[in-house]
Amino acid sequence: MHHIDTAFPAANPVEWTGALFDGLTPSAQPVRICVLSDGLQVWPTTGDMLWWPYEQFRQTQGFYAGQQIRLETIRPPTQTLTILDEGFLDAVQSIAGSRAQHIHRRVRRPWRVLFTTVAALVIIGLGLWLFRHGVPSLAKFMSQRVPVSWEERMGKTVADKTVLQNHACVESKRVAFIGHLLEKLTQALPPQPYVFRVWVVDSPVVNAFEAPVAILWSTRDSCN
Amino acid sequence: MDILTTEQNRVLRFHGSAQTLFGIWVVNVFLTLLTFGVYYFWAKVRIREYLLSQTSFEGDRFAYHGSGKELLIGWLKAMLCFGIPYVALTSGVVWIGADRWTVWAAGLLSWLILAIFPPLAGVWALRYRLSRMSWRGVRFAFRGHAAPYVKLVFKGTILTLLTLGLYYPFYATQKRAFLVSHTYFGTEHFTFDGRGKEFFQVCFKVIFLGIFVFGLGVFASGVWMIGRMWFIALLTLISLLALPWSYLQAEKQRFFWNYTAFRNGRCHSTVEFDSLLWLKLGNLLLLVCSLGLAWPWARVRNIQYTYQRHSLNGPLDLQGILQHSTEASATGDEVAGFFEVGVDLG
Repeated sequence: MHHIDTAFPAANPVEWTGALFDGLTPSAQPVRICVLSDGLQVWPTTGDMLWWPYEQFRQTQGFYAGQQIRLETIRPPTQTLTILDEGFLDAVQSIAGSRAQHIHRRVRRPWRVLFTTVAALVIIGLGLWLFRHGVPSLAKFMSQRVPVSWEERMGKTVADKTVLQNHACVESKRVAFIGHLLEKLTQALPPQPYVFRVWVVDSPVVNAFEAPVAILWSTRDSCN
Repeated sequence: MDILTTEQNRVLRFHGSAQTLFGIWVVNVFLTLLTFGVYYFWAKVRIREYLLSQTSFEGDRFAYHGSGKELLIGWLKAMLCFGIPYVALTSGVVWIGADRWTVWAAGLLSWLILAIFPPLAGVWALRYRLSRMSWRGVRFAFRGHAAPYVKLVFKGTILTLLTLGLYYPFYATQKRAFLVSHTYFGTEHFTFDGRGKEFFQVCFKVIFLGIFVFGLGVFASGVWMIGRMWFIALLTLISLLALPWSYLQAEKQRFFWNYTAFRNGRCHSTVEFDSLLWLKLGNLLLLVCSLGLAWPWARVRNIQYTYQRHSLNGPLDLQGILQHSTEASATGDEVAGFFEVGVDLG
């Protein structure tokens, strides 16, 4: 921002007060700000006037009610101008017009409330839809695309681990009985790519469960 | 100008409202859903921006300078370097049906990642977040190196385990000292002069309170269990254990803050265990009853509670402090998110 040594306009109707930070030290300098059509005149209490053309700074705060307005220069060292009065934004819009398009317009705030309300309603609707239809459909879509070999390999790893940790029951009479039961049950099923297998594990824990590849097994006690 | 002020008890003030935060949050959720999660990073930034810009100290607001793009790039890097290898080591090897030696080796490696990366991520995230925060146009920074911090965490965790928790006060104090003394405002750093021995005395009181309350809880739960009211028994035990937990949190905050200083100004905390307990219980009730929708109100309640009970006492000497720019990537912030690491100094 360049310095221009001119006198502050005596009776300027669009004068605002704020604080200027030089971006190098934490000292705040009280300033008076004049809104003009092509930029801001920043008048520190001591020193020369600073000229802030609209295209050389951006607004980083002051988008919500009660929030301090914060303007920062684009080029380093970043100088910062803070203004508490929100009327400043209206003044910039009315005086600078299209040159200050990057400065927040307070008149748009009611639209934001409307947008928020619509967003809330859409979230509720979308949430319900996802819960009822979206997630089940996605799960179906995904599961249809997982190769059977992947499922089989994963299930086999789980089965091997469980069988290794316990002792597999290999008593021929019991295995034959389970095999017979399995055959009866699978006969009723429609054709499918999975191969069902059963392990009977010698464990005192009564349990029966399945791995993802339809490899089933149960403990000996549960068979009893 | 206002470089040296002598006014006592400077506190942070929050000027925002939960309603506005709720509005921001709703729009964030909406846009995140609409963009299949991509907006999440910008959403995070909007919340941070709002909360910091509505926080003032000595009449001047804080500012947040991070961007969603930075967080997105950080997340991509974090996923590429840590997320994918971690998932591959934990689930991938099982998925491809690797032999058990490979599964064990992968498991060991994933444990190593779990042990090393959370403290690393903590340091990186703190570095990123502080580098994007400013007050009066001067940035904060964290200039500690990751390696000594990881060493400190390893040593502290092992000794805490070996001593059945007795080393914890010393470990927590060392950790705090490391984090605070490497935190800078411009060119000036904060200091921490607390000693583990003093915090040990605080914790000792908590242990006694804990044993007493636990005994009381077991007795009360036993009464409920005789009547086969298991849920109420569990609830009674948990509620009673919240007392020593809350007491420890309050004592810890007071200890940590009262030993933190910035030049001639010393931080002061007046957090008390009963008020902290009510705050946490109130927030829990709010969140449960509203199915999480009251999150902004809970957040604002937390912020206001913290700000009202912490102050900087003594002269605020800003003379000679200069801007000191440091570069920090957002990867740490996202790695911290991935490993669920908390990085707040509070």
